[in-house]
Amino acid sequence: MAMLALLRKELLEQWRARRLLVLGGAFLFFGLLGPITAKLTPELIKLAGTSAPGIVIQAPPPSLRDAIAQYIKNLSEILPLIVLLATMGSVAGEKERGTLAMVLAKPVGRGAVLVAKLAGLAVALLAAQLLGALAAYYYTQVLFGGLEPVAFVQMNLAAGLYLLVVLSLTFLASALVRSTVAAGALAFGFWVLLLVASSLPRVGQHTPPVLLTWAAQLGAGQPAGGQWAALWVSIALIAVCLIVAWLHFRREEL
Amino acid sequence: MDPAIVCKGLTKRYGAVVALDSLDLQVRPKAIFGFLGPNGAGKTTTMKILAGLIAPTAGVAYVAGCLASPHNPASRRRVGYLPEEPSFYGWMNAREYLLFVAGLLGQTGREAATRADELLELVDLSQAAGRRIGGFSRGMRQRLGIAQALMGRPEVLLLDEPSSALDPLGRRDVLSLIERLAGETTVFMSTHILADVERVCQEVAIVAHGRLVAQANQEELRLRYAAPVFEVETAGEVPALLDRLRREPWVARIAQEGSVLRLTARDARRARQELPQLLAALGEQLVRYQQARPTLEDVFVRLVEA
Repeated sequence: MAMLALLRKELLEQWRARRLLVLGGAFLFFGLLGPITAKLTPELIKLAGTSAPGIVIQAPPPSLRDAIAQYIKNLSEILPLIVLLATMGSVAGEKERGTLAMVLAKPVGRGAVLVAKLAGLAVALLAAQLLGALAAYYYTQVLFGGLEPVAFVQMNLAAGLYLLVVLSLTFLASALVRSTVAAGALAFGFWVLLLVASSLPRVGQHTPPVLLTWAAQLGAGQPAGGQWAALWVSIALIAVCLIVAWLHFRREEL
Repeated sequence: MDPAIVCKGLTKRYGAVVALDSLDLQVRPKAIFGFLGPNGAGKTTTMKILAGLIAPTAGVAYVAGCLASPHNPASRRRVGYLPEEPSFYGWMNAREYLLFVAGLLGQTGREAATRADELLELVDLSQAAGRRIGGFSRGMRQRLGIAQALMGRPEVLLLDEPSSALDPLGRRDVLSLIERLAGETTVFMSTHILADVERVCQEVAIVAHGRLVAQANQEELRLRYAAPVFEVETAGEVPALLDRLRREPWVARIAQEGSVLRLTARDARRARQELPQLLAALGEQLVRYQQARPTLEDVFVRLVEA
């Protein structure tokens, strides 16, 4: 019963505190921007070339693969940062303001509080991603055509899992510290570590950022090797984030 | 009847700092109990342990017969807690917040709605029930804080400095509310405002430096611990008398409020003998002289300074 109340509050908070609006708006914007950028970039380059006499720029015609690449680029660079900024105060902010102490003085378990929070954030993220994906799908079909719906869903599932990893790392940072700013800095550090790990030889191919490469291959209809190790590592990392957050939070004095 | 609150050897250390030092305390059921102490005496730490928010370093605390612990939700079911500065979700309205608390307590549907409306009425927030809490005044937040603490009909209500940050009107409202709870539930109220304790509390415990200094009802405390107090009212300033009194070994403390001197005696017999002789020299300047009833403040200052 308490879990339901907590979950309801978290979902309501995503809406009322305008987190869903911020995330949804960002995903929608970059969802639209991907195919449009891919379509217009060669035209812009050509225009730039005509303004300089004697220079002829030959840009290849835009393709579906460019649109997918641009969409994945946004999902991998800008949107994780927006996810981080929108969720870094989820636990730390409540500790800072004292609202969490009021909740924990009631007969609720600390684990339930964390699970409800992470679930609320995940729902907001997935809703925002769905919005962005629908926009991207529509515009890609209009501007390029030939996008396979199943491949597009698979691509978004893989990219969504990567974003969930970023969300979980931010959530862990937020549970470990007592200020929103510190949580943001720590989460950014975790994200940078993740990116560094992905560039390491051998280890790198099993890290969550590889999901984005996989997603791009799936979306473009290229033969994808199936990065199952990265997928399982990502799921395990999400679980580890939640467990470590709980181990710390259950002993924390508020 | 079993005590509503029991603390046995309750100790809390933060590194080298001892916030609570082997506190022993018992509070009888349905009492309005004042937990007095200067800032940093360990009042909030005690409150947080009783509320199950933090664990003691040593010792145990029981609330309504349940072990108070962050890992024992059963104890938190029997307790309502109002922190010193209650914080709410500013995007919720007052009624929504109470229904959210009801959900945490396992109350649902009509039962929860009825209780929320009852409490909004009790704390005089019915008119503001649909307003966002973010726009509430300090006093309104405090009253909503009491309402949320009462939502589960707790056996013990823990109020941490419930009136210290309020203006006189807000303070009056909160104290009236606490008075109305007499006989319904045990109210354990920490404060450093002695006038509030004198007004609403039947029993009092005084803590200083994390230790219990005294516990009794107000009258007993006065009888047991208050030093004799004399009041002298004069027409105008009497610097010579003040200088003389400050040198007397039987005078423990002198407080001056306008033309009234409030003198706490270290030796009551000598004070009764020698003070009238000193005052006789004032002649027509003496307006009034009397042995006053010691206040809780006299007791508090004597015990805490000791």
